[in-house]
Amino acid sequence: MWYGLQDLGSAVLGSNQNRSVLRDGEFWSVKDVSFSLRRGECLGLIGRNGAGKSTLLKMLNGLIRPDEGTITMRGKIGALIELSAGFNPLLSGRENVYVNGQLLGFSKKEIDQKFKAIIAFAEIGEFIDSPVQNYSSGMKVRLGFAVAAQMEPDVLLIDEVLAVGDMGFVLKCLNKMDELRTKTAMIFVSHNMPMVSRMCSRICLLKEDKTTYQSDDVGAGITQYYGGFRQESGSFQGTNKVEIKNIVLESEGHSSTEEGLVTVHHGKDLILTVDVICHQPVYQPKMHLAFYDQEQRNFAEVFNFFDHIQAAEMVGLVRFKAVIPNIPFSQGQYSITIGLNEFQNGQRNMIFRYQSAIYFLVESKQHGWSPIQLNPVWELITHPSERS
Amino acid sequence: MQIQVYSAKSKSNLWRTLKAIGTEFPVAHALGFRFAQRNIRARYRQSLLGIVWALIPPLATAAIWIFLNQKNIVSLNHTGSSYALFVITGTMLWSIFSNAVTMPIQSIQANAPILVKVNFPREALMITAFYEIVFTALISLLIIAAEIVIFQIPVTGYTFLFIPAVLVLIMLGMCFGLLLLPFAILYKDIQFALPAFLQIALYATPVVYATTELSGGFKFLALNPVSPVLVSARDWLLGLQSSTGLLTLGCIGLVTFVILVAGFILQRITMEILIERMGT
Repeated sequence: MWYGLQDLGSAVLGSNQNRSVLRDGEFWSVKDVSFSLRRGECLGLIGRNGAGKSTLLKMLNGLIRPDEGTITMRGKIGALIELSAGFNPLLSGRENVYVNGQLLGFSKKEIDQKFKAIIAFAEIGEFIDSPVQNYSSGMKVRLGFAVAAQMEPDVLLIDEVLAVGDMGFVLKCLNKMDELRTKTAMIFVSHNMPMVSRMCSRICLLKEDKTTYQSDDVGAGITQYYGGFRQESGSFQGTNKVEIKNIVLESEGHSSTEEGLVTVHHGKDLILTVDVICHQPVYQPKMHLAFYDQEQRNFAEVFNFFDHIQAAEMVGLVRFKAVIPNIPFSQGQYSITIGLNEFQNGQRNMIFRYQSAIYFLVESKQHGWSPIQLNPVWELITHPSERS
Repeated sequence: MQIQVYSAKSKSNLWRTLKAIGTEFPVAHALGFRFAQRNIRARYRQSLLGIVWALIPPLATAAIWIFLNQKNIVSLNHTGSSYALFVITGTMLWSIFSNAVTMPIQSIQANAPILVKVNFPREALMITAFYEIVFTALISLLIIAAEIVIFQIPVTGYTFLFIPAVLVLIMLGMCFGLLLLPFAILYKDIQFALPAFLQIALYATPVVYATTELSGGFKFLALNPVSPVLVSARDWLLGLQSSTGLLTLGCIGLVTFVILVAGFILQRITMEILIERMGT
C-alpha cells in the first residue's frame, strides 16, 4: 500500500526516475519478453500458473504500464478477456448488450445496427428480454461473446474465454476467430493445448518471468510446456491379492532402472516388464495397457494379451513382458496405464488398475500435435494419358 | 491508423492528459450515462419501496430532530422559519452532499472487476457517479418541491438560485470524493471511516441548527466550506435572510470547479497505478 502511495506521488509529480530496482517484497512478473507479431499471425502465449501471461496481456491492453521496456501497437486493440463485462444480473439481456457493447467501445448506434446479428450469434432467442440472472452460465458467455465478436480490431487479445459453452458454441467461436484471424494479429492465452495448436501459428512459452521458448513450431513449444511438469504416477486402485514389485521400460538397451526416464527413438521398439507378486492365486489373468499423452488423451491401447498367454492360475512372483515394436509416436512425453483382470467362472474381476504407472519420452523429427505419426510410403503416379 | 505506445516512461504531460480527456470525453460520457442508467434501473428493480429508500434516511434524521425540538429536549428556535421546514430542507441537502462524496469511490469500487480487465475511458465512471448523484438529488428535490407547495412558500427570484447552489453542493461533494479516491483504493480504512466521518460532519455543518446559534468555541465551524453553500441554498429557498452573498457562492463554485477538473486529471494519471494494486 505504501509503495502504491509512493508511485502515486511520483506519477503526479511527473518524476521520470526509472525504477528498475525492486523494492522489498516486490518481484518481476514479466521480464525480458519480446516479440513482434503481424496481421494474420496468431501467437500462443502459454506457461504455468503465475508465469506472467495475464500480466503481459494487461500491459498489452494498456491497463498497466511496464516498468521497463516498450510496447508498440498499431491499430485498434480489442480484448476478449472478460466476456459479459459490466453485465448486471437484474437487467434484461437487451439492456446488458448495450452496456457491454458500449464498454467495448461501440456507440449506441453501432449496437442498434448490430443487435440482430448479436442475438442471432448468441442463439438466445426470446430470453433476450428476461433478466440475465435467469440465464445459465453458458448463455451469459454466449451473449458476451456475441457482442465481442462484433469487434473488428487490428490486434486481438484473447485470454482463456472459451472454457464455458457447449461444443456447438465453442466450434462457432472458433470459426469466428478463424475469420478474425485473417484480418488481425492475435495473441491467444490458454491452458488448453489442443486449442492452442489449432489456433496459433507461433508460440511463446513463459516461465516465471521470461520467455524460455519462442518459435513457429507450435508442437515443440507445447512439448516443452508439458516437460515442465513433474510426471506423477496416477492413482492405484486394486485388491491386495497382488503387489506390484517393479515396472521397467527398455529401449535400444537403455533401461528406466538406470536412467529414470527412458527415451525411445521414433520407430524403435519399447519393452515393458512388470513384476507382480500374487499373494493369492489369480485365475486366467489378463493384462491390458493404455497409452496416454500429455493432454491425458488415451490414444492407444493394448488388448491382445490372451492371444499370447493363457494361464489358468498364477501364484507367486510373476514377470510379464511385452515387446511393442516400431513405436510410431510423435515427439513428446507419454505414460502407460497398466491394468490386470482375472476371469473366474465367466466373471471378470479387476485385480488392479495403475493409472500412468510409468512415463517415457519419444524423440522424433516429427513433432506434430497428433500423438501418432504415420510414415507411409509415398509415390507419385502420373497417368500416361495426361502426360504430354 | 492509430499507434499505441506503452513504455516505462510516465508521460504525465499535463497538456497531453487534458487533450486525451477532451477527445475521449464523448465516448466516456455516453458510456458513463449508460452505466448510470444501468445502475439506477437495477438498484430499485428488486425493492418494494424503490426510490423512496433514497429519502428515508434524511427524513428519519429530520424526524428525530423535529421530535427533539418539539419536546424541548433541545431548543433550536433561531431558524427564522418553521423548524420542520428548516430541518427537512437541511437534511435533504446534506444527503445530496454526502451522496456526492461517497459516489465516486463507490463507483470505482463497484466496477473494480471490469477496471482491471477492460480498457475503457476511466472518466466514464466519474460521469456515472455524477448522473447517479443528480438522479438521487432530483428525488430529494421532489420533496423540497412538495414543501414549497404545502407550506406555500412564496416563489421569488431567489428561489431559483437554489438550483445552482445545489449544483455547487454536488460539485463540492464530488471534489472531496475524487481527492479521497486514490487513498480509499489503497487503504480500505477510508471506506470504513467515511460513513462515520460524514455522520460527524453532519453536525459540524448547520443542517439541524442555524449558523446564528453557534457561539463561542464553536465559531470555528464557520470555516466548514460546506456550510455557506448549504446554508445559502436553504436560505434562498425558504426566503430567509441569507448570510452568504451570491459572490461568495460564485467564488466557491469556481474554486470547486477547478479542483474538480484537477481531480479528473489526477484520477487519470493515478488510475493505472491503482489498477495494479487492485488485483483481480
